[in-house]
Amino acid sequence: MHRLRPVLGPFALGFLLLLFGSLYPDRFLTRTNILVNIFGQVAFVSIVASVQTIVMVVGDFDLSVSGLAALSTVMCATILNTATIDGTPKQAGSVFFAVLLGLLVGLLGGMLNGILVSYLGVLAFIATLGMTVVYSNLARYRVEGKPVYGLVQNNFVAAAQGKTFGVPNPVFVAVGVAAAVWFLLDQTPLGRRMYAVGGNPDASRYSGLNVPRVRFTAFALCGVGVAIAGILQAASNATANSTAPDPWMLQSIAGVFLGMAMFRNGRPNLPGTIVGVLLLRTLDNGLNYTSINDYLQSVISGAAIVIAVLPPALSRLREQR
Amino acid sequence: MTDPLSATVSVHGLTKRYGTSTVLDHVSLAVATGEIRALLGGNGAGKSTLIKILSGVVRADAGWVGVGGVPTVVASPRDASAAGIATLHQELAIVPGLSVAENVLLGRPTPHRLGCVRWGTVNARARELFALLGQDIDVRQDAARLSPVAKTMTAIARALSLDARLLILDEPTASLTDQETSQLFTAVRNLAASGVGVLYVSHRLDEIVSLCGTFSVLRNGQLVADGAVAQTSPDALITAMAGRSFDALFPPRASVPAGAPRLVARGLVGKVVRDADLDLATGEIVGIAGLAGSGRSELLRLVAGAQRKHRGSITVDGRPLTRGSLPEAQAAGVALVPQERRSDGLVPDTIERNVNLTRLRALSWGGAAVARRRSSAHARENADRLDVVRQSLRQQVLTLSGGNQQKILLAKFLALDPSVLLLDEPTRGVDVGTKAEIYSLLRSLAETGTAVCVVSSELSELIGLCDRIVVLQDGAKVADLSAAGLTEEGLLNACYGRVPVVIERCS
Repeated sequence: MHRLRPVLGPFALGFLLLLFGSLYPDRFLTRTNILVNIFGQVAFVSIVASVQTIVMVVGDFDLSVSGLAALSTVMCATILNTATIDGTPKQAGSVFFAVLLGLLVGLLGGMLNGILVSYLGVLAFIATLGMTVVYSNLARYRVEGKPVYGLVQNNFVAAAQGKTFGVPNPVFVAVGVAAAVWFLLDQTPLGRRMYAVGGNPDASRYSGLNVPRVRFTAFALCGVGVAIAGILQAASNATANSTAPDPWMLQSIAGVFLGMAMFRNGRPNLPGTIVGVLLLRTLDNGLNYTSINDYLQSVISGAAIVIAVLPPALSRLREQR
Repeated sequence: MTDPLSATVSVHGLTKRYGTSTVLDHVSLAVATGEIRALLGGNGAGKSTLIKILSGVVRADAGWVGVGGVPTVVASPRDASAAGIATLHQELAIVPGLSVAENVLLGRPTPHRLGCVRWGTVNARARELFALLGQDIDVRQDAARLSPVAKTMTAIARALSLDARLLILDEPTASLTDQETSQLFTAVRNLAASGVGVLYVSHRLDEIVSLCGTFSVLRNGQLVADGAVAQTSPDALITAMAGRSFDALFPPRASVPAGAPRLVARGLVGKVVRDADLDLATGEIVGIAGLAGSGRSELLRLVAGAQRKHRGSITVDGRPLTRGSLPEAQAAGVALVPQERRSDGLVPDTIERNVNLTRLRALSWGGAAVARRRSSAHARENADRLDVVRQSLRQQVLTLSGGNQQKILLAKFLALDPSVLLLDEPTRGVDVGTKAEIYSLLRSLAETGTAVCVVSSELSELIGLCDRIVVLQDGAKVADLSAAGLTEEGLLNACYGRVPVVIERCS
């Protein structure tokens, strides 16, 4: 069982592909469905899950990812749109400046989370839960709760909607972020510090590590990643919608948890996270082809998350006895 | 009259193998009613496996457990408690938020009438059990607020409430002060007098001599000695455990007087420590003695920058430490090996990642990426230097034995190549063989120029290992003694502030 754990995730993924593939061979297993509907859609949430992994490695949670994504996206989009919220036409700003502002908002929001959690000692759970309400409602206030249309500016949308070798461009961004996070966590001294701090903060402190700074860095990086995901999604939809990132909080954390269940001693890890979000997306996508009621589809995918993390939870229980 | 044997728990020919290694090899022993038997042995001797079998966590490959001489199946913790075997673990399971009485009666049906808990009965029953232990505790208070010893008492009272015939105590004094320890011993004696058998596991020989009537010694999974404590001596017990004698545990003291001062601390003030000085020089091992609460660990933390000092100055090799932070002290060559390896020492990861934790920057390409080959070479070198017994560098540290975990902890800080090495209880929960290895390592470090300072609650260890012993009382330095010729009694008196003969530091 222990040896098998690393292959459980890919195995489950293969099983889902086979299952839906044999049920709907002409629709599910098509190139478009896999590349566009699965990979193309998973790109955004996988970016969020990748950076969520960093925060979970240091032993915290970031529940503010959805709110922060909404805020940074809206800040970016209100520069790019060709009409103000009340409809008056206006000159669109520069893409470079807009994206930079969006990323900066993400960074600042992440840093604020980090200050609250690691320097002021607020529990990550309550600090980021409170901040998500702050961020998302700031976003809604900025756009009066309306979607921001008309982002057709200087290839901003074209680049995000485009494909290279048939693969939607956001997938490449997602792969890039995943690779960067993998490198950070697995190959850099900072990554080693992050795992150490998450494993035992006291031992890390005695080893001379600056524990608050490591945790702060994790939150700040998470903020930037979340902004990337939000802006990218707005661009590929040609619309910035402040509610679009709402499902990301649960999905990203569930993805990391699924990955923890699959690999390495139950610690958060990037490859596991990616397999985790792919699993969730494949399941959702496959269920879309069935005639199951929409609400019941959500019931199934929610239950699947809980069932998937059950075996490791049980084996931990057994170890405790 | 019942036959005394009828209440005995015994094991017969217990054997347990993991893969090719035999951790228990035909072990037989018995605890009679009212008997307090010490179970001794180094790490890896098989003590914990034996306890796990008795408490139903692990099943033996061969042999059987007898209750009152009758073979009994102990396949689960539930079976064990039905058979009257209660185990008190190092980490006690106290439920915070519940009262002491509720904690004691946890696992028993709650007395109630018409659906309402009869608090009077609950409290009275709990009080009865504490009375049996000779304890007077307010059973209505929140168990979370209890002192460590009162928590232990509560756990013992709970075992009693479950009609235990055999109580297994696994290192129950690890977190207790000397006063609390003697309080616990009174309770254990009362318990034995009421007919319960006790199996007492400890690394501290003085405790065994004062508490236990009989002993069994395990070494490499085999029973190598047993008998009455009165007819043996600590030296003989150590010889049985380690296969070598007590004096051979400690390396010879420094032959030359201490050299140049490396660390000079003046007027340190912390929470407990007040106005303490500390001088550490090359070539010597300095011990810090004192009762629990005397500030001996705090003094080390203040020096190492792990705790903020209110006042005082520290210089290392002539350079003052200004910021008083741990990274600053580390950069200046001061390393503190913390006391609790589980909570403050190790991260739940591989050997390599633990050993390298203090040198991450040096073992990388300019801080950007981990230098893989250098990292594993560094980990291997440091683990080899301390003879860590391991399967590979990728082994999880928490799967190692206590002694080997302690070695990893030491390796991590020795990797800093410290000029001043501070150690807080460096041999706690470590077997005799590893203790001897740690002692000779510290001596060889001192000989090669490191200033070594050890805090320990084991007086015999301080006297055997150190050249000079600083005694603290209530946070202040009360004596500075030469260890040669010092007796445990003399040192203990000094800890209580009675210094009959102050042997001033010979320099």
